[in-house]
Amino acid sequence: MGGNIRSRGLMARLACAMDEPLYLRKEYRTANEPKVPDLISKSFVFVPSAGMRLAPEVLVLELMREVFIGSHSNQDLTKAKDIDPEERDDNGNNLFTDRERAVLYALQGRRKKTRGSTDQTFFAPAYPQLAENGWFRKNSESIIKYLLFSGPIAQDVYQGNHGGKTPETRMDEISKLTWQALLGNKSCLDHDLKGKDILAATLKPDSFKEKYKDFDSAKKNLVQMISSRKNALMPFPGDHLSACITRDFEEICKLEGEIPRMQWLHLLMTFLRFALPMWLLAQMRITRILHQWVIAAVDGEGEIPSLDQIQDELANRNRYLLQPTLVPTRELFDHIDAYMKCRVELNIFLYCLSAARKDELDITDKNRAISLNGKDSRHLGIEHLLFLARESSSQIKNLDRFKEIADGLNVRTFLARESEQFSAWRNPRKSGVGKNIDEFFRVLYQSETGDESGGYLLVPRGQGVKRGFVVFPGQLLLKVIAYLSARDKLLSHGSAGGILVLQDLEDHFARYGIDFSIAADARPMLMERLQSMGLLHGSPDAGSSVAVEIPY
Amino acid sequence: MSLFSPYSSHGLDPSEKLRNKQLEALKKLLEVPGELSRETRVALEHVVKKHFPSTDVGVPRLLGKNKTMDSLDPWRDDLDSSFYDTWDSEYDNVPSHQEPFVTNLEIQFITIWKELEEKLEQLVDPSVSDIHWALRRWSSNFLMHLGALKEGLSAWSREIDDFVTLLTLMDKREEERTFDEKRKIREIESRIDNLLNSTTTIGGKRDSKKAIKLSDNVILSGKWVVENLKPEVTSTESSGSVSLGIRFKVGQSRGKEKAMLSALMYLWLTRRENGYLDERCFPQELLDGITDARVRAASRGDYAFVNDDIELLVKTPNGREYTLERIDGEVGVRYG
Repeated sequence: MGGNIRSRGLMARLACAMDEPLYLRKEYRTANEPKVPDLISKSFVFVPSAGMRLAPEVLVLELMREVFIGSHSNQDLTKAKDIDPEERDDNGNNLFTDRERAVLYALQGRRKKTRGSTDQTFFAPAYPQLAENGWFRKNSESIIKYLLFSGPIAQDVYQGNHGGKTPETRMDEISKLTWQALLGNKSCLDHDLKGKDILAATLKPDSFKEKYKDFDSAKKNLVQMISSRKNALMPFPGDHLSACITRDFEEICKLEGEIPRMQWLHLLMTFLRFALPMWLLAQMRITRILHQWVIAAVDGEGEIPSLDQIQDELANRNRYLLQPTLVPTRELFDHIDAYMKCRVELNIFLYCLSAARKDELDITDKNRAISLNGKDSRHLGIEHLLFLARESSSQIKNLDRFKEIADGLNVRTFLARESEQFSAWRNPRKSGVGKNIDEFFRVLYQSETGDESGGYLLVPRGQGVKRGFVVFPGQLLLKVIAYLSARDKLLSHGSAGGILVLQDLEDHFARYGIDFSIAADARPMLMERLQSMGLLHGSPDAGSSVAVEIPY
Repeated sequence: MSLFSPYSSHGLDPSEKLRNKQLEALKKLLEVPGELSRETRVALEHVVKKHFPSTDVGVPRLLGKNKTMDSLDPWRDDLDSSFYDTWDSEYDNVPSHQEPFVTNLEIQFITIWKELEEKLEQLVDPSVSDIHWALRRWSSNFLMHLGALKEGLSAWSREIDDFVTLLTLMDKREEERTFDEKRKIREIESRIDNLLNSTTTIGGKRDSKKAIKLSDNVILSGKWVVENLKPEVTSTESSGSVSLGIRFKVGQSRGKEKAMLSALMYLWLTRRENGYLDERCFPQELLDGITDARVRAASRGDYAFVNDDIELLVKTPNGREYTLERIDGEVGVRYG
């Protein structure tokens, strides 16, 4: 008798579990949110993981390691290790020579982890050999790989318009430039020290190991990174942001050897700490756009966008990401919160769509991914997904779970109610992916200490719930963008483009999502800042046509 | 428009709601078929696309709060005690007849204040002292400004006169300058040089050598810096500019790196040099431009690739420093 009751209870639980939506089963959810289905993770909609990078110096360490060593982590060790110039080996001998220590200290940066904590020192390796003794945690997110090489650079290499050049040729060009710049055009690759950079001459020729002079090895690592997600790119040319980031990265690489290594590394750090978060922010917007379309389609609001409209919207995802302002705003936090909520809701929707329309969509299919136009059975085009959402509206509303949660209501309400049980939706910045993204964006902040040169974009104001940011570029970031916009103008229009004017600078910022033309208080401040730096010629009364000096 | 309506100098409606409606309507003119003349199109585009020159002009720019005249208010400066004695509260110092700066309006004001004070004496109320305070504060504010106007006072007047002289001087062609004028220019160059060097600190300590702060903990010095990075005062290229140009002459890029020496910067510089100002009070952001131009000049001058006479001082967090000294291409490293 007792056995029967027990077995009946088990059966009931089993039956209940069978009815349970996939996203509530432990194999399809993490502690914070439903697992991202392959449909998303293998497509361009996917947003790669991010993680804390407290100082731009660590971005250079990561870049050096990825290019010359092939991994940001140490394959033999799990834990992370910061570069420490005073580190000693087991016998108590210094790991670095006096000369290496001097060069490491020349590129030290200071940051605070929290407002109350003491300064932490970070070191940017000026040359690849100095990156050997610092690494990241084995499972930590690879920012350089996913937000630079397999992100914007891969998008530009495979989909950009390069006048008939093949992706292989472009990869070779970019690899050569990157390798050459990171190794140093004025490094001591032979024994003649004259005319070499003072930092390289300090290290002396013997410090430059043969393995780092080998282009093929660096190229292998670079090609591997660039091609790692080549099947998950947006399949159309003319993506402004990826073209802009790639071109800017190339121009920065070309500048190496023209200015002192130390200044160049500061430029590189500024570029990385600005461009990578802006790329991430733009990628996050794709999820929000798709979420908006899907909800509109399934709830029967408005028309389904055409392929051209979809492409146009995706290509312009970089517009108006952050509004320059001198009044602190929480726009950045709003972006993260909105992204995380849309991400959870979109994933739940896809699980539900699959449950309602097994004939059309199997969410467990590991070989299917969202694409722009669904060119084959492996791909689910966005337009098709939206039509499927619209025609499946009633089937979704007939799902048991839907009736249980939001019977008679629309899908938007159901998704919001269903998402509430996930902490990633309730407290987007407190745990999981949202927290990681929030931590990564700290690289954009002006640090309380050690950020005098001004490579930041955001100036934090206030504490706790009142914390906000003044969105305004620091001096060094202004100089970097002034230089890059001048190069961009020259490459696009040749000498016929004329001199660099304020409008060019604003246009360049706008490509990264910072639009000065709509910010009433920021433009006069931009002029004032440029004028005090000696970069603005003529009267500010000339408005956007005022000439700007090229800083490098 | 700039005079009577400087807050809306394009002549569009001052109400934002109506202005936006107006702009929306005007935008449609750009879409009307048929070519518009270039002038018309540019004018229209400037207004509707908001690509117009600064509208911060007109009366508010001159008379607004924190604008030009406000920053010249003599009250911002130390005034002589005899000035206070004369103008603080003595109505009788204002002439009772019209003369330059004193009109019927001023005379009438004095009469009104006098009458109000007499009225106050008749009042039996605990708040009399408060009213008296408010009244005197009102009248003395007026009297002091009238006094400043009559005596020709303004904040920074001496420094501004000097700066104007310097601007006039820089407008002269080099060969037309007298020996005294040339000396005056050299003096200002030397003052700027001293100021830049006196503000070079590393790890919180001031460095007395001629040096350039390249980053938070790295300083560039050596004979090359002394010989190559002297500031040179020039006139600015923009017409009507009221700033001086500062340029750093380095090697082949002579004159390439420029920054502005604004009137404000000159005023602070003079105050500091005259010993009225502790150097810690000097607003560093005013020097950012020039400091930055000097670092750019050093970089453009290829300090990193010069084979001789360069020293880099690298400070470590424990307070000690590495000295990288370059001679004949080689670099010697000292730690101390």
